[in-house]
Amino acid sequence: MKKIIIHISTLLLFTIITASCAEKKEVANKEDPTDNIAGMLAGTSSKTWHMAKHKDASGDKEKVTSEEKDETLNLYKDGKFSITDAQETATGTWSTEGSHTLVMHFEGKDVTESFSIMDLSKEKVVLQAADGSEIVLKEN
Amino acid sequence: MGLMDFFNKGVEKKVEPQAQKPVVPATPVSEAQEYTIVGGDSLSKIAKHFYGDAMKWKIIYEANKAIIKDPDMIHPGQKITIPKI
Repeated sequence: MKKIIIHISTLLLFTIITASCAEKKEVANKEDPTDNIAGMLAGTSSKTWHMAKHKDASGDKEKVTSEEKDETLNLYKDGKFSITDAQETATGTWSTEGSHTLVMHFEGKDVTESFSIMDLSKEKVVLQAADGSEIVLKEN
Repeated sequence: MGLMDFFNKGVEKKVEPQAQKPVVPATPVSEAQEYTIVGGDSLSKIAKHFYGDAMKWKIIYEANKAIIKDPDMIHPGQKITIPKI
């Protein structure tokens, strides 16, 4: 009788451990929807970015004024964006090309503007323009 | 230099006139049709739009290999065919 109880207990313990491991594996396999380029840029619905640093075309740091810090770039998950400064708001659509290019298409313009993504995380993005100037954007 | 100035200094590329996004069909696509890619599109997004299943992006990619070299790189203004399934 004692042997049977030990057998059943061992089997039960094994089942619990197996079920527990399987559950952990399932959680680990769940993909974070913001863990890709578009997700990092726009989050689950939208993200608001502010300019934190700026380098000119020659690589010299330029002071970011308080007015410039107030300007915002909103990237929406549906592919739209808006840029707001003290005077106006510009809107358009955005997309990515591969993992290193952000393409912006301002409403009413017949050209797209592409920027190199030099660095990207969920809180920070570094973009480079055609002339080599760079900005560091930080999430709101 | 503000954000507005910076975002006007990108590498400029001409955009072909964009077509309106088609109305979502109530039933699955029964005839092949043409679609013009707009900003923010991806093949999976288009597949979800036309077939109701983002995983069917490969069908669109296979049908448009002559135009789309890399499925991760589609450009606004490109005209692609949405095959019937």
